[in-house]
Amino acid sequence: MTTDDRIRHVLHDLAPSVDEQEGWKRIQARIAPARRRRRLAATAAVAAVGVLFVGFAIGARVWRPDTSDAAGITGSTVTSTMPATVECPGPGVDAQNLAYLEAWTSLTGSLRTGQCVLAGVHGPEPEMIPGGLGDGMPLYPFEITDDTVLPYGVLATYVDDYPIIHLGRVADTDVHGFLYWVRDPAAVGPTPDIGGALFGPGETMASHPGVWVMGVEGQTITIYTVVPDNAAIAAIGIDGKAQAWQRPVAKASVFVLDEAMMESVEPVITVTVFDRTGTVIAQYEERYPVGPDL
Amino acid sequence: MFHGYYGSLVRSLTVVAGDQQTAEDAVQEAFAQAHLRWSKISKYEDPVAWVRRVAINRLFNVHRGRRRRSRALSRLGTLRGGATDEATRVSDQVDVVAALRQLTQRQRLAVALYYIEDLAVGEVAVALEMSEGTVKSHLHRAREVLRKTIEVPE
Repeated sequence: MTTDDRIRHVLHDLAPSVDEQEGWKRIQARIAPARRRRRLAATAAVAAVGVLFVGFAIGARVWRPDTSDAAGITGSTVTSTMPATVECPGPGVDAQNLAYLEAWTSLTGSLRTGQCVLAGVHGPEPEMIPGGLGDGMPLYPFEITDDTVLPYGVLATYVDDYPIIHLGRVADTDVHGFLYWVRDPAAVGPTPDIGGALFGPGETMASHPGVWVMGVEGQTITIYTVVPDNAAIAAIGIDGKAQAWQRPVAKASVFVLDEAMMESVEPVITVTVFDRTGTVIAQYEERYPVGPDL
Repeated sequence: MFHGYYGSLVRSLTVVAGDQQTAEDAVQEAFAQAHLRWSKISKYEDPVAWVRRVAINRLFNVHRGRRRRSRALSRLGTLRGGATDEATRVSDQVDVVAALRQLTQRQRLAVALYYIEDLAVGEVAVALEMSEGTVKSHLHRAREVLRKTIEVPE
């Protein structure tokens, strides 16, 4: 017996037996919430198109990506027209992101070498936290380190010409990351990730500033809100009752709530946005869509 | 694809992770994601490689801390628990676990994919995004370590 044969024998002996049937059941269990989430997103997307259309029709302010640090995105330049290439920043976090992205290019087949992946940062630091907002639910900017391994699914959601990817993490929840890209004009597409469900290419959705109830998985509801540039705090309430607050990252807040908080049949979710002085600068409402699948 | 590759991938990643549950979670998530976007992945040249890559990434995600990896590897020695009548074999396994612990995670992955999944060196290189030379180097290092443990006569 050769060395290779002996090693192979020993390692095979070491590896455990695997219950494929149980594995298949668990995979099906993982897939089911994603299917529900897709149906929910599709419904929301239809509504979004209508809202967006009406918004433009009445001359609503068009929100454009702003790359200043205060606006919540660090690094690159994004012009008012779709850039052919992204001007990547110098050494630092973003340079690591770039190197990281290039390293993955061969796997995805949809990425262009030279694109930058930018990490989101918090918006302006609040001078005060208004009272009565509920508990703090921090949203941490995604940390890119040498050990960071981006989930493949995140890259699978890339669309070739969208230049900015932002990743964040909600503290103390199963929502470990999220992603959205900014494109011109005035559109942001959030994509929940990690929790077993992810929208594939072309399945993401564009929105304008406002609330998005997404990521319904089991009893957990993920609520995204795209907030104004100068947002320092976003606070979420259900049926008028304060639940939690956080500092948005890269113009987005992500709240993860227990469905048990939704006490009424069709609860109204309200996200109130404050600037650094504690002044309300925006408020968005969305009725939680309870459907037969939920 | 599931029946052909699920079991072997779980077995391989268990050896890498030292934790069968972690390995199963990673592989199940990979298959679930493949299922959700199968219309696209099925057009890939090698969908299995995609699943393998996703599973490995998931594993890396949950195995970042060195201490955590160390603890997990320690648990590997108890994977086949209850084998008191197989004391010798268990003892050998513990030795092998100790030997594997001397390898880096990527080296263990190379070993697992090569020896348990029976991938060719080129396939291991694709899965781990490294050159074939690097894979051979990892395998050489692993053989050196494991040879001492299992006392293979030259």
